[in-house]
Amino acid sequence: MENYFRDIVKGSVGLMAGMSITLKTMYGVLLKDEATTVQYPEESCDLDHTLGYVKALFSEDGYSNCTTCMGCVRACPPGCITLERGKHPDNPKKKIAITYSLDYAKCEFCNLCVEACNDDAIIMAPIHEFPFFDRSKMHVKMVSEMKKGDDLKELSDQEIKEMEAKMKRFF
Amino acid sequence: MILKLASSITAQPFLQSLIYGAICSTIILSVCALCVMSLIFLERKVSAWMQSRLGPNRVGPRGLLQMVADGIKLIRKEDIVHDQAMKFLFNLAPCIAVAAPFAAFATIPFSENVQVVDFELGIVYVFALTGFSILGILIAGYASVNRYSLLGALRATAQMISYEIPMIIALLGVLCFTETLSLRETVIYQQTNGWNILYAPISFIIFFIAATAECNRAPFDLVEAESELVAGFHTEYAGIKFAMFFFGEYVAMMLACSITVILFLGGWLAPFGFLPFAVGSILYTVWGLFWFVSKVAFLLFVMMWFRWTFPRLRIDQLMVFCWKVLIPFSMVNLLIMAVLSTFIKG
Repeated sequence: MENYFRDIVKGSVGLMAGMSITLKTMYGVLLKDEATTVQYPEESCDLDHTLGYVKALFSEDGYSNCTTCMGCVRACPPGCITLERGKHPDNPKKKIAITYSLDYAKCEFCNLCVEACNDDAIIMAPIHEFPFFDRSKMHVKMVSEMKKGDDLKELSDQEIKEMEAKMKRFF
Repeated sequence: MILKLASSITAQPFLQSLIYGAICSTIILSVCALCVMSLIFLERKVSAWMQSRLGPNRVGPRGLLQMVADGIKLIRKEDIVHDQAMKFLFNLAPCIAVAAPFAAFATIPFSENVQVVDFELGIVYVFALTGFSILGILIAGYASVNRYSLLGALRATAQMISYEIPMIIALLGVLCFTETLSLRETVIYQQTNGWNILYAPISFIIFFIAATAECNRAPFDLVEAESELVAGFHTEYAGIKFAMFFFGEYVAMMLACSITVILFLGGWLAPFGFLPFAVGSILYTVWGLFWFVSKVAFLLFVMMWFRWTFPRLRIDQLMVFCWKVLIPFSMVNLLIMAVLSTFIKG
């Protein structure tokens, strides 16, 4: 009998506590503008710590760090990376990638290619907004001859500059 | 006023009452439809606010046109009746579910002179019809030929039968004081003696909880239970028929809140007898309407508050709560009320 009344009192106190929490949340949203919602196209969250677009890095001579070890190609689970070997124009002993393309229709953004890379030639950059209107265009030729400023054919120069600026924090 | 209009059109009493009924039901239907549309919108908004979101705010100014868009979407959807369903019953069920709570609005006194009919047995009539709406749910579950639907319908029946008992017993406690079954008289009693909630706070709590359960609202929404039964009794319904069930549910909610307001919160009376207008004037009627609507709106908000705060009860918890908590409490409450009323009334 004692337990019965204790349970009822405990239960009602618990219910009150729950109701006060929801009311407080509502008060916060309505009067203090505390909603967690971000009105996406107008504003966006801070996504700099997240992974997105696969991006090539460059050494000082303007060519990619890539030594064409094919590690990333082998590591890629869906096999969306294609890499074509070529010779460095100044130093014929050095191998460089002539084309390095990535099919974003297949890419899982799993970061395995970046982990497989021995030479820090690719990283995942915090760029998430690259919508495509055509499936074939999702196969992005990231670099031709892996030359600096030449990558990301789909984006404008301005956007590339912004990307480059964002990437600086990774060095 | 409408009665006068009807009598000016024709002299035959039968035709007069027919015209009167037609006009009144049209008004109630259209007002209710508007209210339900805004309630669905508010439900979404309140749920969003309570979960620290913003809710629909893209369609129209502050998202207000969202309710119109929702309505149009539901009406335009394809009406699917699957092969094995019992066609006649399947189509009948949503009609019953909508018609029953609507019919109960006939005796609700919205304000001093705003009432379709004042039955002497108004309370009995309303409870008969709320019990009737369960029939719609049961038929829907049975005619759908779907295990989930049937389970939902059976749960609904079990729930309705159990929760009607504490509801009526809680009501009896109030009736000890008011000594009338007419809803209008109940409000007029409160005009002279103060709101019933002052005498019977426990009755009010029990009644409101049972009314929430009666409307199949969360945390008592075992009938629908999205996470267990797909959508419960209306799993097989699409488009306009689903909309009708939805509609019926919200009308039943409005009805339950109206009844609670009339029985416990003084109907159209302003708090503390605050009365800036002369009794009998049109302004007084509007003033009463304003207080009635705001009280109902507050109770509807509390119902939404419940829904977005509490998790759903398990079926055994639901039954235990009803039979072991609500019913004993309402019985003891009834006893106290009866003794109190004899002492007060002498």
